Amino acid sequence: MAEHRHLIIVFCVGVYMLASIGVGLWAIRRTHSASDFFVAGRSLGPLVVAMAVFSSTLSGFGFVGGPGLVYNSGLSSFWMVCAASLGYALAFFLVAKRIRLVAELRDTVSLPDVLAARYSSEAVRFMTGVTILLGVLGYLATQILAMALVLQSILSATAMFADISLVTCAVVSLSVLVFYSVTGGIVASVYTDLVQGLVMMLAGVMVVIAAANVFDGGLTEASQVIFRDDPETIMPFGALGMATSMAWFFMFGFGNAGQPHVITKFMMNRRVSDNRTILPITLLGYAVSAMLWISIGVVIHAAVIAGLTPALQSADQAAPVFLTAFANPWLAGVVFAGLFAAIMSTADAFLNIGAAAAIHDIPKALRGRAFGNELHWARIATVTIALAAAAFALYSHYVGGKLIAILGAFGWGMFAAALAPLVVIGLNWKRATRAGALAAISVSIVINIAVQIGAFSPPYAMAGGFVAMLVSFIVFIGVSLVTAPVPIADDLDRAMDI
Amino acid sequence: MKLIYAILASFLCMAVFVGWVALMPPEGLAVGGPHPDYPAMSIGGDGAARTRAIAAPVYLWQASVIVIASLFILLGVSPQRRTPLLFWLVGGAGAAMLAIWTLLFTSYLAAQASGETHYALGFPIPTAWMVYGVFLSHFGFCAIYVFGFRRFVYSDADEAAFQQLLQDKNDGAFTE
Repeated sequence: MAEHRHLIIVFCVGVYMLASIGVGLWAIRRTHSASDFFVAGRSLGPLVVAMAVFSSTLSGFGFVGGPGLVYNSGLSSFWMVCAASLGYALAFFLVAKRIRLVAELRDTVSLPDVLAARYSSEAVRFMTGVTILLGVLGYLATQILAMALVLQSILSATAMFADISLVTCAVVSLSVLVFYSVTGGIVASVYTDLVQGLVMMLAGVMVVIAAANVFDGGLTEASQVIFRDDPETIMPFGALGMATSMAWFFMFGFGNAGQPHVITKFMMNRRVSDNRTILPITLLGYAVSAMLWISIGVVIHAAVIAGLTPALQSADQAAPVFLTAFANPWLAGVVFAGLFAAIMSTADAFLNIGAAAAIHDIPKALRGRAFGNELHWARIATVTIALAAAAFALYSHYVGGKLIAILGAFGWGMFAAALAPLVVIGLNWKRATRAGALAAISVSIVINIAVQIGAFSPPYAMAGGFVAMLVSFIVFIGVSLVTAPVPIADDLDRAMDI
Repeated sequence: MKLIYAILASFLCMAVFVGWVALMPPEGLAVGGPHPDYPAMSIGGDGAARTRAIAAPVYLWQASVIVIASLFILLGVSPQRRTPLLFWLVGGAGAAMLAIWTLLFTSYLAAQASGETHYALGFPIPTAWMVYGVFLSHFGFCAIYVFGFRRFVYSDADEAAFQQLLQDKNDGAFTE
């Protein structure tokens, strides 16, 4: 079976992609309006929403970058994973109910819609919409590049596609993503998330079992091997140390509730009361899938030190090398399919919120109304954003330059810093003002860009997004307290009492 | 004291502790260094040397994060539902998080001092506290949400109030 390893992997990935296309075809019939396209008509059951929430959170970064970070610097990055359970608790307590109530009350289809209603401000809608659109371009570019690189590594290992180019791989993987995102909008997105979430959970469980069998003494022996080489690497703060780790914990724990691609899912469930079921399923899904992150990272790190496998030239090779060296071909196939699932489940969510920002939020902020026939324009915007992000991705890969780096600043950390205070506090504190909201967004953008272009470098390698988020929370509350309160619309005022 | 002032004060405390860390000159491999034998791999080196100056402020920084998280949970509950029971439950969950953070931290410093550690569930004791303890410690908040949903988050009365709100809106009682 080992000689057919590459064909088995290609087969598993191919089946996954065909399943995604199938879901897209099925979802066409369920997408009749912009509301269906962006928020699935607020009709989703708890299992679908839960899977969509967790699979949107755990992107390709978790499946490739996560093990790579553990290989590179030990346990430091695992603070991002530990923060997830706190992040979900905060998101459900502070956002899930409120955003769902506002969505039904005001018939909103996007996060900027909700925030514009909350702060009675088109400026807030515009700033949020622009932040999301730029963030989507930056984040999506990295996801598309990751998809293309992984597909190239899989196909180039077969005789038939040995010389396949990166551009061809980008076109193939992007075509699948765009197809189901355009045809079925968020309906296709969340139902593919369901499939993707299940594949990711299966991959997580199977990898842990495989990883535990690499050393006779299991994970304990792997830890001991690393401890003998460099104790700090396997200690809780890893090679990067305390400050870097704790900055990540704060950013990922508190920033989760500011991620528009995650929290817009809270607008889609049938009933508010479903949230009590959605939270535990989300947690379970994330915990099972994230086991892949640490188990591959620790075991491949120990395996290199113990001489079981050659040293890696790049930390991002950790997952592929583990799958090649230690995994059954079918397991490798499932995990590679899970990797695509992780990337696509985040990318489709970004495409959807990006399209909403482009054709709904920004036009509404600028000219007081959205485009007519929003469904039509949403599909065009989805294709356009995907192509623009792919162009950025390939440009950055082949040419490099500052532009993509600046756009990269608008990714996760930017969303966390700019949007978390507005959502987390603003939806629960009536005294929050639009001046506070605009100040928080502005200061976040400035700090993130300053860090990204190298104008400011936080000490102890603390993430720029962490500094921006801490300052943003303080500025948001402080400015709100010193500026005149703005009356909240009566209906929202009553909703905030519930 | 209003909850928002407590949250702001906690954020300011956290900023002070972060600033304290930032002002400490890095010692040893403060943020790691390249592994002498393997490319793409880092080491932390002498843990005691690099953590000596920043251990106290980092401990307090994370303690303030736990306080902020607990206050945020309270903020997420409508003021009329912030009962003494809720304060006890959230306080208890926050105290559990703080206890686990303290156990993690002290066992880490002890392992650095002795150069030895025991193993539990696949990892050195301090790391096991992080991998399992920290992740699971947040389940206290999640449990309050799931089991206290009707009491603290969204009761039948809330549902009725919201339906009435929708009805009033449909009847044209509000202008946006």
